[in-house]
Amino acid sequence: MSSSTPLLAVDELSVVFGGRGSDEVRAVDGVSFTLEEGRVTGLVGESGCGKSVTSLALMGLLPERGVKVGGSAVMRLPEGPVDLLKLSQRKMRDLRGSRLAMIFQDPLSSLNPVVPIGRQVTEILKRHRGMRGSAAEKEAAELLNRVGIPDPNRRLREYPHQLSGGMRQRALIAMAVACRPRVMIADEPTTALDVTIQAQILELLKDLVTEEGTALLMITHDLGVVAGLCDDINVLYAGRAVEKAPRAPLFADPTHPYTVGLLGSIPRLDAPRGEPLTPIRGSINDNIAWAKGCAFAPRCDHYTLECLQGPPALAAVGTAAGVEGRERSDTAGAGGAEHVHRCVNPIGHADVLDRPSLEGPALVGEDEEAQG
Amino acid sequence: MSLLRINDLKVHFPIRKGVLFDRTVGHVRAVDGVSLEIRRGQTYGLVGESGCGKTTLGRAVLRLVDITEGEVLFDGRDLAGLDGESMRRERKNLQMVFQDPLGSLNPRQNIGSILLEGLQTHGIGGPAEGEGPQGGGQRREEVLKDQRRRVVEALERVGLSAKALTRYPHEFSGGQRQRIGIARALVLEPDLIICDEPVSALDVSIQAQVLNLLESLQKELGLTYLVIAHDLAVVRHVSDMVGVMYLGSLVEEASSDELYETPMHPYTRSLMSAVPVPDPQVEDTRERILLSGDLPSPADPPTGCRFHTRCPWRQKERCDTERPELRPLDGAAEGSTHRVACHYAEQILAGEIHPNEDMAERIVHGAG
Amino acid sequence: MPTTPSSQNRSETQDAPEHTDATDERTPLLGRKAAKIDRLAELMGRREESDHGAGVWRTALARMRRSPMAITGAVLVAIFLIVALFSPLIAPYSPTAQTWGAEVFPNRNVFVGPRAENWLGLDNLGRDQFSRMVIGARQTLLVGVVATLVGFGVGALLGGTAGAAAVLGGYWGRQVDNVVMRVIDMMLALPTLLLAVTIAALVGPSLTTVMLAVGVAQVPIFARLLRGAMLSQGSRDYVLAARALGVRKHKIALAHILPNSLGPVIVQSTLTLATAIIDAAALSYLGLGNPDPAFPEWGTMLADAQRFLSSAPQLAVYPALAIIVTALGFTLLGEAMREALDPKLRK
Repeated sequence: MSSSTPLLAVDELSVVFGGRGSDEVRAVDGVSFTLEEGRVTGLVGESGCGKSVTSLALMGLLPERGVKVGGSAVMRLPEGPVDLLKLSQRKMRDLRGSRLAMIFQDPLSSLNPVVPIGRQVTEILKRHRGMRGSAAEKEAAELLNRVGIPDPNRRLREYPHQLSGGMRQRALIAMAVACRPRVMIADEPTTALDVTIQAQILELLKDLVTEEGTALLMITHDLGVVAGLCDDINVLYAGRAVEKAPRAPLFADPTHPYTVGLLGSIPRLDAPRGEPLTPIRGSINDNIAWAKGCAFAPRCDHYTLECLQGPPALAAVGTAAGVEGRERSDTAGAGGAEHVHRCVNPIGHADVLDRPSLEGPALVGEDEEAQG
Repeated sequence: MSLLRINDLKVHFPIRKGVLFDRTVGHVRAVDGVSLEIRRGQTYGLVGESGCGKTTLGRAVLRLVDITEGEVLFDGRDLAGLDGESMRRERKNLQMVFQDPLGSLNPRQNIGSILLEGLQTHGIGGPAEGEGPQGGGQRREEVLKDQRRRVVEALERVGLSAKALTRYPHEFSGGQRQRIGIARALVLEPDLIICDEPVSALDVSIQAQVLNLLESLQKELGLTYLVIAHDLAVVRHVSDMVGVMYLGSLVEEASSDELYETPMHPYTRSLMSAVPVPDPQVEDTRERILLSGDLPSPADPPTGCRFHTRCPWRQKERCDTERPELRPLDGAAEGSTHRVACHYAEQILAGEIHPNEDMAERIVHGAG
Repeated sequence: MPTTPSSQNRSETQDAPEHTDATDERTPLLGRKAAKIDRLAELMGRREESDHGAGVWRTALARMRRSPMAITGAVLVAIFLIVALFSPLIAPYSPTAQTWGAEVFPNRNVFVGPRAENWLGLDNLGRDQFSRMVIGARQTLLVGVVATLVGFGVGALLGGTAGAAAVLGGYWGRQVDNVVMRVIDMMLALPTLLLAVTIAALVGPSLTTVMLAVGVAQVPIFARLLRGAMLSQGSRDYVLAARALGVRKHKIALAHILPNSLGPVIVQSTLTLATAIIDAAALSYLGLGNPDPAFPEWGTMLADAQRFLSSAPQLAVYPALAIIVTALGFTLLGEAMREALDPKLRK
């Protein structure tokens, strides 16, 4: 499916916080994916998996002090490819809003509360598309109409607090698409919204992608949203992708125990009542450093001694991943495959039903979510 | 045998204005005439979107908000008519689990003191607080020992160990905090537990742990639950009966399976079609009814059927003038619990009335 | 450690008894399995174990230990406290004895500066300046502490009543809150100085006057602060949880809302100590303080020294410096505490 060169190729992105005094935190630890025209790529994971940090790193919105960003994120532009991570602040500002747009989770705090919606939209049109006066205003109304805001001319004069949550998110999307960006990043765009509103927004995003050919990076914790919207999916855990696949194989034959566990944790609307959920035990705090082994092992019912020998590498499904360094297969070996996972002892189809339930280690409790 | 029966419950919050003297300028009709019944040992799920009044309803049952009108019959007694002190005593039989696991625990209390508080307040395992020790120090010690035993037992029931007793809420993860919240309710051995969005603040994998815990506790202890949530899938998973709320009133009520198989109210149908299912095949093929607009203000609800402003099935007559009652369907099977508040439920079900594409933002027909 | 990950999940996924030990199972895989578990335990590391959880104050203290601002403040305050508390032991001479009266002639501009015998020199009457400064510290501390206590006590009582009534009292509670807060607003409108002058006019200038005036001026600040904190705590879920538990209202107010609201008030009291010291000095300077020369007070000393400002500026500099440094110490400490306790700045 990935025949054309991607619009944005993220390779081995890593973000490390801290240093000086406190311990370093590897929030993102070598994540690679590509965004392609007219396709939706999903980053899925629970809190603390590094999905939001990834988006902030791509947008150049991380604070400069105390953060180390590594890897590359090459975006294809008409004037040639550029690495987003190495761009100057000023160039990045020009790119943001025009070629690269972002939609945030909380629409209220992403909009300026004391400026009418209309001014906020026309501002972008003026800055990035050089439009003036009534032309900009007309275009702004057109944009609001496009994202399904009724009576746009009246709405343009209203302030963010006068709009409902769904309308605010639409206004935010209108601002994001104002300059017809090639790449759009949506960070949990529907989490703060009700389901009926969520359905409206997801439909809107779907249309934008198919009609405009925008490449969308969808960041969410909701596997249901992913199933409906995303073409390619990356499941993240503790800063690394543990499984990536097009959506059909991912949901039909998940192989990483974490993905399987996530799917088993979600009550499905169409499942008969009383069908038991099979949750993942423990919490995100029960992990080990990737450098020493699989970070998911403490919560995994499937882990073996080999899981703890070193960091597992990404490998094509069908072959169990070796430990990094032992077989230098890493991403290179898995590059061509569509469905890859980072697991030494993956779950085959048959196993999914009767998971061996080994006794977990009687050790450290999940401790201190309290960061202070 | 119904444990809780709510009759025409109304909770209206006054909207106040004025600097020096309060002046009531209107009312927010948070709950506006809800009747429902929860049987002992069952789980009743209340589902609806934000602003539909489900949380207020849950709090009204416990009298944490003032009831404007109506009856709350708990085990035959009307809680709405009790005076403050009797209600306070009654609360040991009805407990609540909150949405925000951290916010609902006092940051300055350790877990032991959080769990002991209810026992001490209600004098369970010993003389009531304030009445003083009745048999000297020795009796008091025994009481304390008994209370401690109950606390540890409750902690173990929710999967935590006694080591947690001396720790503080912020030292636990989200899932563990919610377990502590559940233990706090359990320790009083209540008959009814009201769970207000018990899992919506938790990560997916933790949600399943907590849902399973609630289920196994119900099996072991014969608890009755009122589960309030915005997530239809969660509600369907845990509930025997489900009530769907919209703008302060119930629009449909049925057993969990019946509701899923034949949702009859237009709102339920669109709500159900909007819930994402983690299965691409289902997602690609199902029909989706996208509602237009947002929830109207509960301070100024629409006349007639509350949903008529957004309803794709809306008819010219009755919908905007006459408020539909929650009623069983004409010609419903004997013993059916399905009730719906729609004038045209039968016709919609029979396919005689089709949704008006102009009224919905869009109706996406499934591909397959 | 509160629990193990396995014990948490066990009751849900399978109905295993609560205390199965891994070694109980006699399977051929046992050795391999044990090795696996040991390895996992090793990798997850032994995290620091403590039997008791850390409360809010304890974590705040740990944070303050790392803050240079807090350390500076604490050191300054500690020095001041030691000097004030042990002043009779530290002062080498009597603060009132005009031992060296024959060496100082103010009208001829003859003053004695620092020397081995008198570290800070002599004042205009030939008394040892160092001893007077040290004894003055005690007076200053007394004024600061008593004024703050007056402000804190009355303010907390009023604010606490208003806050508790507003949160838990229903309709009548809101009326009580309304009345109390209007009274406090009126108090807030009175300037400290005017209040002090009025009190002094009524009871005559004395140390009590200063303490009372400064204390009363702080009442509205404390009251508003505590009420505000209680209102915001009152809308938190844990208060609702306590009500749902059936806890009595007065106990909710005293055991839940109040302890969680006291943080900002306690911080304010350290800041108030600083302003109280400055205010007291200002009032003494204006002649409203203790006229008794037997009890030197930094403000009074400053006032006395101004007559000789041109010929002996050091007499004014010492008390002024002492006031500034002490106030600075309390302010730094208070600010550091505020920062350490602020939940928003905690991460």
